[in-house]
Amino acid sequence: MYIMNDFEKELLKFWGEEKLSRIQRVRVGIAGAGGLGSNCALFLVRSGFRNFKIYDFDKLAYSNLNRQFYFYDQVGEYKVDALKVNLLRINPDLNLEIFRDEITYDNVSGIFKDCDIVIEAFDKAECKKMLAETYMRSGKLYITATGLAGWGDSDEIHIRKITETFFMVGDFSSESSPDNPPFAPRVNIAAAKEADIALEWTLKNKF
Amino acid sequence: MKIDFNGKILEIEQNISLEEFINSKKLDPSKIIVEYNTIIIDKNKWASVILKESDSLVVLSFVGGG
Repeated sequence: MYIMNDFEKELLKFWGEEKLSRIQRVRVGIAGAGGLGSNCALFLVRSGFRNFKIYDFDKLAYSNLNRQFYFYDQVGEYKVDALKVNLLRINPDLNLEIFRDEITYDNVSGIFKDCDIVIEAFDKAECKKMLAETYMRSGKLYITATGLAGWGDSDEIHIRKITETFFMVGDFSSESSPDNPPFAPRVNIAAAKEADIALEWTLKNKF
Repeated sequence: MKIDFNGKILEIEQNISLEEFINSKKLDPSKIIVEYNTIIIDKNKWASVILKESDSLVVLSFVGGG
């Protein structure tokens, strides 16, 4: 047993030993560190998850600050570098692997091989499709989000369980566009639902 | 004849290919996954699949934003 930091000692009081050790054994792969990925990671770290693989090739822009878990003084940095700093400020003992790589059809099948859970947090629909094709039948828990742009009607953002290990989150229609950009509230609702599905599944299954 | 489309029973004509069906639904092939009787079918094979009575079709559509 490793030595818990003070935050983890408090997590232990919330969860108890069995549940926390389950949460801490799971490895979560997150594809994208934008609005969905950065916030979903934030929620998972607060919940007690420790092991992560996070991919994003992009650098932080001012336009990202309307919804992504970053700060003004981090603009220009690689998102995964900035996210690592931010997550370690919540729990300094995370086992966090970050990659400044683009996920493509060439590498997609290998990158999350050692993960128990894969969370889709891309922006483009074509990328969401690519990751789903690869992981929706992989036996890993696979969670994807579709339809979260704009504002209002946030109860429309719901969970569709496709199989025991494949979940979709969103309103399934609100596409991001210049006229309908994504904003923090709806993006965070979707990211939080992704994180909660991961949490519930982890507590239900044996690791 | 009847098929199961995304969990709902749908009445369709005979001798329709998967490609024709997808086109009739006005879905963008680059943003959807098509499961035909629980197997994912790549879009270059849609034309060669002719839908039969009681087939099950699940179409997952993705929209951008994240």
